[in-house]
Amino acid sequence: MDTLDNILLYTENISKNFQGIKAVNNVNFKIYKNEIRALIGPNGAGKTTFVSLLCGRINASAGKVVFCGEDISDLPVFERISNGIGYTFQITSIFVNLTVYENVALAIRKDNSNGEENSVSEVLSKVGLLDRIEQRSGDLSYGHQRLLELAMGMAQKPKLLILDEPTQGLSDSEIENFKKLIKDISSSTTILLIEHNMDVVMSIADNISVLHFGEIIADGDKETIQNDPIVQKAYLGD
Amino acid sequence: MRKDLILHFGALAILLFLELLGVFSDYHQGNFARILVLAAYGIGYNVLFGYTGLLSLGHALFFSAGLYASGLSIYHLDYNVGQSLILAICFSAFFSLVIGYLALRTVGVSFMIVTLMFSQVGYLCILYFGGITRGDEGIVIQQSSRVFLSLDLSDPTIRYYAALIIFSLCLIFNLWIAKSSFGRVLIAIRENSDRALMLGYNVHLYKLFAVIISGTISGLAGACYGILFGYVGASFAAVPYSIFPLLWVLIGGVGTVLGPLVGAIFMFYLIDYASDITDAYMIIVGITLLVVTLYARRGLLGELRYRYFKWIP
Ligand SMILES: Nc1ncnc2c1ncn2[C@@H]1O[C@H](COP(=O)(O)OP(=O)(O)O)[C@@H](O)[C@H]1O
Ligand SMILES: [Mg+2]
Repeated sequence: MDTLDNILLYTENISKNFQGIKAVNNVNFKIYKNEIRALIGPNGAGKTTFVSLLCGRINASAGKVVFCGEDISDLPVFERISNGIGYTFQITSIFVNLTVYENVALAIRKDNSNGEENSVSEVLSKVGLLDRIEQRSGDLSYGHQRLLELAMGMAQKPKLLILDEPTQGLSDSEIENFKKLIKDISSSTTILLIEHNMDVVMSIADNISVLHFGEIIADGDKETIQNDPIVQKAYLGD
Repeated sequence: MRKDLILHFGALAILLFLELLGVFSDYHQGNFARILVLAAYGIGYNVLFGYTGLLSLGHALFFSAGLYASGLSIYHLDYNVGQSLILAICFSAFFSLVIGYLALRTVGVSFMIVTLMFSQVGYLCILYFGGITRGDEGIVIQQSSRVFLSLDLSDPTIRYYAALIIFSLCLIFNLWIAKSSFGRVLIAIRENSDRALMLGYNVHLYKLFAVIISGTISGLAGACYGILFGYVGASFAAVPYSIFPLLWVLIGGVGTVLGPLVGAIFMFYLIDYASDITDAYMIIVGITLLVVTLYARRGLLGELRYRYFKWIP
């Protein structure tokens, strides 16, 4: 199973210290092509920090990141992203003064053969925001802004899409919609999903990694994780 | 036709017809020639401040880089107008690259201070090398040197047309940038540079390009100012000439193509009328600026765009 061919990204002993706090500590992590991997763990476990190390938003204190067989540890963030890592923010980060169209067009970056307008419309119709294409994105409702954030991730057509708590603060019906969308995206993209909502994790993830105090304490498919005594003690709370 | 093209080419047409129909008195013709070149400078400033969101307090450095490159080459090396303009453009571009490279190591308030410091260094250098620059006194460019394609650029009418051409070129270039995907990235950097970076843009390089474009346009405007009005002096490198473009842009409309022109006209005539009324004209100017910034925070055109005409680039 562990041939280099089916691993999309792995880390070796990656660490990040913030003024003495080991936010991420010696993590060895692999993600396989075409899976949906959930990354769970209590607040402050280091999930956001860990994925930021993958995409280069934060520089690692030590360790390396290998993506598609290439060591990307020294690449600046914009190059990692052009190489195919997409990232959506835990706290919605869109261009509020620009239109929905402009937001997505910026995410597409290079115009492909399809033509920018077609590509934007295609992505927006998938997330159901096509009728708001000319709206100022700051005027959208919170739920719609989260959808736009997701649409921008899709528009980048990354090989690996990192979603940092995409369903945070959404209503149940909006969450159902997100689950469908993420399933949909996963047909063409590997997904690393940070998620608090265990219902979402259990219904769409293939595998789960558990982060606790900056360390991966368990890795595996859903059943294994659910029945793992260490995980139950640390996180699931029995 | 598209609304944005009608607006901008309409504005240029009005500036042309004001002259063709002889609406200007000699006095206003001269004023407007000055305003047009200064507005071109404002456009250069706006590329960096209004579109990219980088506030420089030292643009007089770029304005005077072009001014002195052309002025000194005419004065000392007998360059003709065409040659001196080419030199000024190349020099400004190179100079902006170097200054941009250094200044962009900082952000925010530090960037403002660093640009201010660089421009003060430039100003002091002009004074220090008085043997070449003739310092405070400056250089007068003789009428015989101010000839381009056998047109006498000191003639008020020809000068007006020349200023209008320079302004039009800068305006069209700015309009093109504002509409291009390059310009959209600059705006994205202004709005949320963290997000722009996380979409895979080399934010630092885009900022450097913005400084180069901004500095080169400013330098071109400086060179034209010296040639058209025949004077090259250290006062153009001093702090007020860094603050003027900021004020024109703030008043006219931050990140709008026509904003610098609107702001430059407004400021020029505000100072002109206020100084007719009283010697303490800066009080009137100050109060007016205060009122404008309080009630039209985005500048005159910026406010119009925000409230009514979203399509203004
Ligand atoms: N920029 C930072 N500076 C200092 N400490 C930070 C910074 N970012 C995160 N931390 C700390 O690192 C730990 C992990 O945070 P984070 O990665 O945001 O956790 P999670 O996403 O799992 O909730 C927390 O203790 C947090 O306070
Ligand atoms: Mg987090």
